This record gives sequence, C-alpha cells and structure tokens, in this order.
Amino acid sequence: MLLIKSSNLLHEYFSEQVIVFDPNTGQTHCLDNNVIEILGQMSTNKSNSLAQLKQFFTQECSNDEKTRINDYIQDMINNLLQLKLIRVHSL
Amino acid sequence: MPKNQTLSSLNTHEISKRLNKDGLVLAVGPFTFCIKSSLPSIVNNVQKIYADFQLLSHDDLIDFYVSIKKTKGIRRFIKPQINFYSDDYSPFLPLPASQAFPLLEWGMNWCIAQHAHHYLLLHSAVLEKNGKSVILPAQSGSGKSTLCALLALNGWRLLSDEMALIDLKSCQLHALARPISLKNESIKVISAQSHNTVFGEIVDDTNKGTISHLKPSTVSVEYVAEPVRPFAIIFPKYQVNQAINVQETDKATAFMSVIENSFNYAVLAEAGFNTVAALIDQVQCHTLTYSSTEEVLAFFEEFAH
Amino acid sequence: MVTSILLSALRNPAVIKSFSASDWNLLLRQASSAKMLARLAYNFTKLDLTCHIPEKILHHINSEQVKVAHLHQQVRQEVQELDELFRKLKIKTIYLKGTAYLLADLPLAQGRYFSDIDILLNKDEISRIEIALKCKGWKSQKTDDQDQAYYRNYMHEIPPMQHILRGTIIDIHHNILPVCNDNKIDISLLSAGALIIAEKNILDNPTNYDPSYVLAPEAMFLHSAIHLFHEGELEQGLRGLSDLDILFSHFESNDQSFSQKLIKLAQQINQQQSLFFAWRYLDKVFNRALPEEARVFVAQYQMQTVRLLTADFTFTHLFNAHHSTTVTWRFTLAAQLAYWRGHLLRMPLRLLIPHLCRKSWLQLIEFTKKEPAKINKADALDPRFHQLDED
Repeated sequence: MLLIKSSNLLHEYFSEQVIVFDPNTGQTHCLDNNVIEILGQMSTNKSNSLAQLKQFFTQECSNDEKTRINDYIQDMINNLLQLKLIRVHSL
Repeated sequence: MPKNQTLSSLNTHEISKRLNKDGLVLAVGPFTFCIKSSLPSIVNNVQKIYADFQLLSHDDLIDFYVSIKKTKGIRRFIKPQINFYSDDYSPFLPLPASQAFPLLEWGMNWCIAQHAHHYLLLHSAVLEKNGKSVILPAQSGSGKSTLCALLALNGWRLLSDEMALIDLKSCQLHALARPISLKNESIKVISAQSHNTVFGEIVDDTNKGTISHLKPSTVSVEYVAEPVRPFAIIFPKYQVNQAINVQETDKATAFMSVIENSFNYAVLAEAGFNTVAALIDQVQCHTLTYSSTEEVLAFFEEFAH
Repeated sequence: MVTSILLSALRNPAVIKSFSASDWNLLLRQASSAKMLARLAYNFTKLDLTCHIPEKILHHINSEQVKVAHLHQQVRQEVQELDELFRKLKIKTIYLKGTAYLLADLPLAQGRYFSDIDILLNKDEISRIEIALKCKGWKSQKTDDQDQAYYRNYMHEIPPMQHILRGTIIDIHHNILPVCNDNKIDISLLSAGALIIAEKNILDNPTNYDPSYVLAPEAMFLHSAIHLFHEGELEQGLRGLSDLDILFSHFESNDQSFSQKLIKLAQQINQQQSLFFAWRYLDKVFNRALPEEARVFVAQYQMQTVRLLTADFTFTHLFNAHHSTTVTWRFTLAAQLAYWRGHLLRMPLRLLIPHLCRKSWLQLIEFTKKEPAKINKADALDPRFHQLDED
C-alpha cells in the first residue's frame, strides 16, 4: 500500500501525547506521540510504501518484536487514515 | 471631555436621555459599545452596574452598536417582549421584557464572541492577584461564576467572568471587568459574603432560573486596560461535601480542554493552535475539586503568594 | 440617490485618508451588514492604504478575514469530497460562483464571504448525483411536494441540498436561468471552453479523469451579470456589482480581447441586456472607465426609454448600502420594483401569479404557527456560544 501525508500539519509534542492540527480539515487530534516518528518518515509530495515504513522501524528486531511493531504500526496507520492525516495513494 | 469621566458622573436623567437618543457610549475593556434602549430597567441596571466604566462619545471609534427594543405587534400589550439588536441585526429570539438586562449582557458577549478574532476567546473566568493570573474554564458543574465572585470579593482583580481574551501575538490576558452573572442560590451565597456587594435587578424565570448581576469592583474597572501574563489554568469542579483536592493535569489533556472551552478556536485555525500551544507552554495546569468556601479561598490565597 | 459611505469607499478607497472617527464608525456598520468588510480590506491593501486604517477598525477587518478564510477552508474540504464522488461517477461538473472563484484562485475570492457550493451539470446526470449525495448524508431542503414540483418543473436547479452534519448547502443547477423563462439559454454555449481545475493536493488520479471545471472567463463574468440582473432581492446587490467590478478588471487586464469575447458570447446566448446593465452600472455606480468596445456596445444598445429609466431608478438606488442609516422612501420603492422585476424576468406572469399567491399564503400559515428561529451558518459557527452563562 502507498501512502501520502497531508500537507502543512502542525504539532505540539508532550511527554506522552502529541497534539496534531490539520489545516486541511480544521481538526485537532490528541494522539500517542509515537505518531510523530511515523509521520516524520512520510512525505507530503511523494508516496510512501507501508512495507518500507514497517521495515524502517523493525530493523534489527527479533521476529517476535517485528510482529508486534508491525501490528502497532498498522493500527496507527489505520487510525491516521481514518483521521485523514494520511491518504492512500492508488495507482 | 476629560479623559477619565465615568458613567457615575451622569445623573439618571442624562443617562436615560443618552440611552433613548443617540446611544450611551462606554469603554468595556478593549471594546467600545454604543448602547441604546428606552426600557427603564436597562437605564436602572446600566447606571448601577456600569457606574465605574469610562464614558466615551460618538467622536470615538465604536466597535458595537447594540440595542434592546420592544417587539412590535398587538401581542406586546398582553405579553411584552424584547429583542436584542447588534446594529440592524437581531441574532436571538425575543424574550419577555423583564429579562432586558440579562439579554443585553448576553448580547454584548455575543458581539465579542462573533467579532473579536484578534483574541483567542475562552469561555472562562479570569482573575489576578499579585501579578498571578488564573484562568477558570467554565465546564458544566464548575460553579465558575460563584467561585469568580468569591475571589473578586476577596482581593482578586476581576478580568472577566465569562470570557478570557488572549492576545494572539503576545499571549497576554486582556480584561473586560464586566458584571458577574449569578444564578439561583449563588446570589444569596455571594450577598452574604460582604456588605459592599451591589447587585442589579433580580430577574426570575429566565431559562437559567433566577439571575442577577454583581457589579465589578471599582479597582477592577480602573485597571481594566492592564493586561497580565497567564500564570495558571485551573479547571474547577464543585462537588458537595468533598474536601478540597488539587491535582496537576497533564498538558496534552489541558490543551484539548482549552480547545473545547474556546469560542473561536476553530475559526482561528493555525493561529488558534499556535496560541493554545504558547498558552499551555507557559502556565501551570490543575484540576480543583471543592465544596467549602473557606478551603477554596485559602487555596487561592496561598496560590497568589 | 444618497451615496452611502460604503459606496464612496468602494468607488474611491482613498477617501479613507481623510476619515474621522465617526466616518469610520459608519463605514464599519454599513460594510459589516453588507458582509463587505473583507472586500473593502482587499481594496485597501491593493492600493496600499492599510496604514490609514485605525487599529480598532483593523481588528474588525482582520476578524472578518479570519471568518472568510474559515468558510473558504470548509468549502475546499467539501469540494475535495465532492470531487471524489464525481470522479467515481465519472460525471463532469462545473463549479459556479463563489466556489469557482475560490478554486480558480481569482483575486475576487479574497475577502468574498460565501459558504454555499454551486455546481452546474448535465440535466440527465442530476438524478444519479442526487442519489449519490443522499447516500453521503446530503438531504433535500424542500420536503413539501408542491415545492419539489415547482423546482423540478420550472426552475434551473433542483431544491438545495444540505449536509445533515456539516450544514453546508449545495445548489445543483442544470441551467442558469429558470427553464420556464421565455429567454431560455442554451447552456452548452455557456459551458463551452470550461477550464479544468487541477487539484493542488492530489497527486494520484486513479482514473485519469478530471471531474471539476470552472467556466471560461467570459462565461463566468456573464453568468455573474445574468444572475445579478435577474435577481429580485438586491440586498446583496452592491456586493454583486463589486464582484463584477473585480472580475472585469482582472480578466480585462489579462486579455485585451476580453470585451469582444463578452459581446460575442452575450449575442450567442441572447443576454445582451445583462451585459449592457453590467457595464452601464459599473460606469454609473463605480465610475469605472470602460474599454472602447464596451463603451460602443453600451452606447448602441437599444432599450425603451421608460424601461431604462425604471432600471436606472431601481439599480442606482439598490446598488448601495442596505442599512438603517441609508433607507429612504425612494430606496423602499426601488426595492419593490426590483422584487417584481426579478420575478417577472424569471417566470412568465401566468406562472408567477399562482406561485406568489401560494407563497404568501404559506408564509401567512407559517407566521401564525411559530416565529422562525433565525440562526445562519456563520452565527452557528461556534456551538459553544449557546452554552454561555451556563456553568
């Protein structure tokens, strides 16, 4: 799956959460602050492969850790899609 | 006209004349209102409650032209009703004539909430003592206005009972020092606090119960032009028979609560987000559960030192 | 005709250099009630006059600009969703009016207060779109059978649809004048040469299908003029004329043959009168210097003297601030004339009389039932206001 991040997102980082403002929808979201790491790996003007994203975060992980991190990332991606902070890029 | 002429320098006849004709021009914090009405209850209440406010004229810049008028039609003989106008426009449904002053107050708040987007506007009380300011957001059940009146009668300077005005650029809190709107039992509780309280007419049977307005202290009105740095946001909650309890709130939660309490966060978009971020960055955030007046006053007293 | 301070400021923005506080107060009131404060600001900025505006007034202007920007952001978001839908249905849509100015990034969009979305599409596609929109949470605003029939039989649009959650209103047109109008417009002539709107944000376009368009400049201007000069309620008339003013000067400066193209299109769709009025009142009301072709066209246009005098009386009075500080008996009379004129232009008399009778009967019934709540979208912007005082 290929993904694109919404443009011009603003965020304010706190100890556990991050507040993200999306000027495209006018919505403000309170999210787990790990989201920033994931969004940080994504671009607003070219598509990003989900597989590569997962690979990036699971380098040097054991298989067991990999499964858990992959699930975690998948959950987050689903959530970000629902909030329209990212979109699916279809070919 | 001398710069600091207040409404108290005019007699009832003159106030009534101005309200009836071209309009009475008053400085209300950073805003200038031109108020018109021929209703005696408006004359009485305005004279009493706004006595310390600075008088201006039609040669000054005016932000809002507001009026309270009787509705037309045959029904007015049986059941007199009134309308609020912001210039030519009437945003609300008419109310019984007895509620003229509360409607004027409500309408003035509406004008600010609709048009003052150079501030981030929060639905909250704001007070200050020894340079330390507290923002008390109005969640339902907070007892915000009662708490605000208590503090205002105990040496705190009133910046606002309804609305925090936060400058988008400087993040400073600006004052309105408008009357405090009290309801039902609060009116008795607050009158019992001090002999010096001045109340407007008591209006029964509004959709919020009995309402009366407490006159802001002369000092609060004198210092209305002095902004203050935000120091703390305290989310109050009144809970019967509970000992006082103060907890630090995590800032992300406070951020979201501030947004929920804002009148214009959505309209302000990026500027709103940046201002809330700057605000949260520089204040302490607490939740406060209380029931006893003594305990809560003692807590705030300590807080100001 | 009394020239309102709003009109003077639109005609010649430099008048503000000598404004007193009471002049500013009056301008602020008239411009706010006409929803033209942000428009004025656009003119002031363009002419570098901002330094002459007192800080207090600037706050009001900035607040209005913030509100307008918010409405525009909401419209853009709706358009994004609508485009997705149109792309799926493979329907070609032309955005009209405010939405089009915004999407085409025209200077006119800056400071233009609007929130409704207008689209033009093929009449055969309407039922597909309607069903698709209903599935997406849009609901027809007119539920009464008679209203529905009136729209479907005589009008150039279906009843407006409103989103049940977001409150946005969409007007779906298949023509730009009522179809019962005797002077029916061949819409294909107007929509010929419509321009594709490239979406800035969307990289992917799975079907390679561009669903959204705006009218070509001459059609856009002419549509705006036709709309304004067929309108019965000219409360926003001054704003409409100011729209034409900005559109014309923008297109004219980009294309020297713009006036010729306008004349040609007006002849094709038989709407010379709207073009004549547009130019006549840009000149009369705003003192705008017209290009040679336009002046010749206006001078040669034939119209009965009585009708022209009536039109002049009506429009010169109504292209003004509509505010308690400007009302005169002439103004009230002009408003009445415009009301009848607008209705007559949109509908032949044989249809109009029964329609108006029925309308006033219904209003009477409404009136005796209850007083309608007046809350428009902009006022309801913040639901929190309604809890004020409620702790």
